[in-house]
Amino acid sequence: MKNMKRILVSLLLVVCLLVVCLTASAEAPQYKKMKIAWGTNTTSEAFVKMQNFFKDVLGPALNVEFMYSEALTDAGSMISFIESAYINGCDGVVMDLANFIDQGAPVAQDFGMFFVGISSADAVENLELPNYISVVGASAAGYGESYAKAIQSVVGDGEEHAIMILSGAAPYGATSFIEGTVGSLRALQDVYGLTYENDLYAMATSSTQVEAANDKNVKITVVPGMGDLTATVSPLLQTGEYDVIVGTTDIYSSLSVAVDEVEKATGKNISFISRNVFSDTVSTAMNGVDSTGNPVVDAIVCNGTFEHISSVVLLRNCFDGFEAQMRGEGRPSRVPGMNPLVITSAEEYNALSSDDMPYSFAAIEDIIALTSLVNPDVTWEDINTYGQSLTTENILIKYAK
Amino acid sequence: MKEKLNRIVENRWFNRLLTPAILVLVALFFTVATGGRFATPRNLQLMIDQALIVATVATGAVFIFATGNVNISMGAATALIATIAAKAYVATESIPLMFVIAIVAGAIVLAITALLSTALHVRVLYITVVMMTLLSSLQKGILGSSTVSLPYAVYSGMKNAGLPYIIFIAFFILCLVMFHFTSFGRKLRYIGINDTCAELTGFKKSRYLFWGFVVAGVGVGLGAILTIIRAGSISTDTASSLNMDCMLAIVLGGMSAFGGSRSYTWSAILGAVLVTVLNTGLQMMGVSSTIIQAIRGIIFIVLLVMSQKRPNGLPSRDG
Amino acid sequence: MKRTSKGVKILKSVGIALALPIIMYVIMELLVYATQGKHLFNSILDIRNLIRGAGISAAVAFALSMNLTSGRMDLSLGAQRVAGTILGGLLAQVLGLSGIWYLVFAVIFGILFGALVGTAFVTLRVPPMVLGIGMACILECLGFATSGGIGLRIVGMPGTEILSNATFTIVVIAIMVVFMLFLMTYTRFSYNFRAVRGSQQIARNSGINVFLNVAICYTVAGALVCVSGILDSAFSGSMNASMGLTSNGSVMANMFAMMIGCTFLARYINQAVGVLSAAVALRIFAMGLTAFNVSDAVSSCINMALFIAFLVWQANSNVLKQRKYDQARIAQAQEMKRQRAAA
Repeated sequence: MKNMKRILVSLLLVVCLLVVCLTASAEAPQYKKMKIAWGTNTTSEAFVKMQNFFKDVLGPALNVEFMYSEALTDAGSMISFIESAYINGCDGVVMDLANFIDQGAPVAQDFGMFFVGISSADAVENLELPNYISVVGASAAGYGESYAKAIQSVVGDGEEHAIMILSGAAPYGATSFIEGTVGSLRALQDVYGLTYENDLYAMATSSTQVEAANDKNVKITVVPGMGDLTATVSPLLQTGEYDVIVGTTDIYSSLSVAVDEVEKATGKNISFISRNVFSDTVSTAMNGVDSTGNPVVDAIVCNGTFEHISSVVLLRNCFDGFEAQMRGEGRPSRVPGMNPLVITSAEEYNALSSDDMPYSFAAIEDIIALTSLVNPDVTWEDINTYGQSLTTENILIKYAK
Repeated sequence: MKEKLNRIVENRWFNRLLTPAILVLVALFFTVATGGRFATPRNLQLMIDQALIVATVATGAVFIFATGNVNISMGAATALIATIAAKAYVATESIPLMFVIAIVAGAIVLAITALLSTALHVRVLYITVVMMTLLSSLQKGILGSSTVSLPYAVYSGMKNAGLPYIIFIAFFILCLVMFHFTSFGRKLRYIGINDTCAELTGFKKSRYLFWGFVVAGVGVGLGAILTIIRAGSISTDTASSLNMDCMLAIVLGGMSAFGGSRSYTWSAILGAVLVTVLNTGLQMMGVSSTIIQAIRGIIFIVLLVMSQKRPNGLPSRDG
Repeated sequence: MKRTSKGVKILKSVGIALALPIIMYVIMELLVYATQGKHLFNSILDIRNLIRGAGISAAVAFALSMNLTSGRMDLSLGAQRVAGTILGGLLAQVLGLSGIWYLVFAVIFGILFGALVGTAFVTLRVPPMVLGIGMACILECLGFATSGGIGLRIVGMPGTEILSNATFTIVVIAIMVVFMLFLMTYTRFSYNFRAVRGSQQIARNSGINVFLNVAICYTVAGALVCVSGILDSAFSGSMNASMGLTSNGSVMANMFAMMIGCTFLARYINQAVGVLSAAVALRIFAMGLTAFNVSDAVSSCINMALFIAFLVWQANSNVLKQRKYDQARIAQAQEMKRQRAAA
């Protein structure tokens, strides 16, 4: 059944691309030059990789120039950046600052620039603004599903486990963190068939450590915080009660030393589920073993990067005059696209992080095929469908050597 | 030669006109370099808009700087007051009440800071460092797991009505009069020149420092309102760089880093505009935002050195 | 006789140095046990983490004490820490060197940046806080641009395991404490440092090169923050490249330890030992708060409220003594006056 589904999705993908390619002209069209302002909330390794891809591949292919912000932290700095974008002659804005995209859209509208927000939650305000094109980025439910899969891969072995979930910035309202935590709690609910005594969202957004009390007495603890996690987590792990640690943020970088020390001291393996991106560091971790002879990291939830591509394509199409097809019915379209990838083994990781893999697993021809100048019938839904087809399984099939 | 240079630097007109002259020159340079794109009326208005919050808070901070003291908790105070005011609006939907709460709370927070220093004898430098963390933690505690947002119609309505300009101009005129045309301002500057001498002359330093902080508190309250009007949303990161921006603006604006007789209320707006002009102009010329920060730092140090005579010894005041 | 008194003195110093952490431990242990039914320390790992955390805090507190105790607030210290750690680490990575070299290069860059800021200060003679902002702008940019915005990633890097090894960390901290103890007690620099702190003018008149002394203070501070930077990033996996003048937060967080060590404990014991003792005590306090399961915001508020109480007490302990003394003298004078009137 599962194989059947996989084959069907792959076939659908191939048919979609064939249709798109057939309707496309033989040569890449002459895109008019446009400039996109990219507001980011971080300048991490992933952001640098994205910049390089834009500079070397996507920018030249779609004739787009980019202007980047410093790491934006609040609505004030976001608005200043959008104003600077207008002064610098940008035609569209992509804003990767989830909590404030609804405040950014009217500013871009005032200056006549198209606006795309990146968030795991949908837009709720200023929906009527015609230049508020879309909200892209894996959905909150998508994060939940991915975490559920990752947890299932570790605790679904029929054994009894005690789990610590690090909710990261969930107490500060970060939706992807909240959904990651809620998704993890739900996954545990399914695995053990348990019922929680408290509300899932209340536990996920708690600013203090909470026990997720349940009828099956499975030990589940939610620990918040982004700062000095070792001070909080190390004493808890030393009790020897926990054997699974789940992070809604990159806990591999911040906690691997502390966890390793606890493993050495207690002689007990602690399974590690972290949220990461592809990097040399994670590659070493996925391929290495810890002091107990088990994998250093058991599963990672890898942030999707398709939102970077979909936002540029959406703005490119709007700039070329196809904004009606890029916006939803009287409101911004919602393009969750690709769910965060779940990687549960070194083999999967090595295959997905291979040098031959295109950025976000989307070949440049596929991306060009999604532009309106090539395919005037393309809509935001097509872009979304393409993104959704990029699951771990499909990618491995598509790029199998 | 050196003496001549010193005499020029010491000249009060040189001091007053240095920053405006640099501002004009920089603006002219960017206008020419960008083929006129820099100086369109819309762009100029945007640059002023961007400078307004820093200018308002920094104008109030001049009353503290003038005494030779530095308050590095202005940003944290603004964020806390903005949170309280926005929450008050959400609870009551009353704009006048939001205004009153912001101004009163701003004045109270800074009055407490001043009292800890003046009545309980803790050094201003230390107390403001502690207050910075304390106020920021309080804001996080009050805000909890969310951001506070005002409806778009409310904050955009205030913005479109030109309220930010009215608030700034009213506060600026009030400060200008108080600082340059009343004995209160003169005494603050006197304390900045020599606090021992001022005490011996009969000015109670603690009393003037207290009122200086209160005026700065009003500036913080108004800055908080401007933050709400501009952003419409308050989070734990709101105004995170405001404190440093204020200090940059005041010094870039031509005010002596030591306070005293070379303290001017207009330094704040001049400095704040100069920072936004530099940011915008350099961005338009294709300089990356990373490099812009370094350029800002270099210009800051150069202007700092140019605007005052080098003392024979090392600066001995706190800070 | 002399030897005995010296021995007693040393024992007394050790006692005072241990007193604050022990008192703090006893209080927190009692509170945690009474309210949570568990102990503050559960294993040797907790104690190792305590020493490691306290050592990293102490390094920053030492750095702060080099200037802040003389009234100079260097706002570029955080930027020196970030830039020095990133550049030192990256250089070691590029050269393919092992963990210890990360530390060596970071310290070298720390010395360079500290000396740069110090030289700028004694040359330009502008208020240190204001100069610090300008220098922080430049140094943050340096760390950011050199690492392409990524910062320094240590976790998983071959040969860097030693940096996060608890024993190695403790040895580095021990060396640092001994260095500070020696530097601030037995060297000419320390005498000059105290003289300059007392009065710049008198120090200058007595032939001390004030400028050199202050420049050295900045240089030592730069080196110390980079030691803390490398040890911290080795344990937490990375050092992020800060921008927008946000780098100073981690430095400011250690000001409380510096104040207790330099302004209170230094009256009774060596300043370097005092700072370490204060850092350990505050770390125990933080562990206690963690055990109470309070949120970050509440924990920070409690810390800062205590800090304010400490500052107020420090500033007014003499005032109370003086007032008592004055009252006694007034009473004595009044008594004399009464006696004279009676006579």
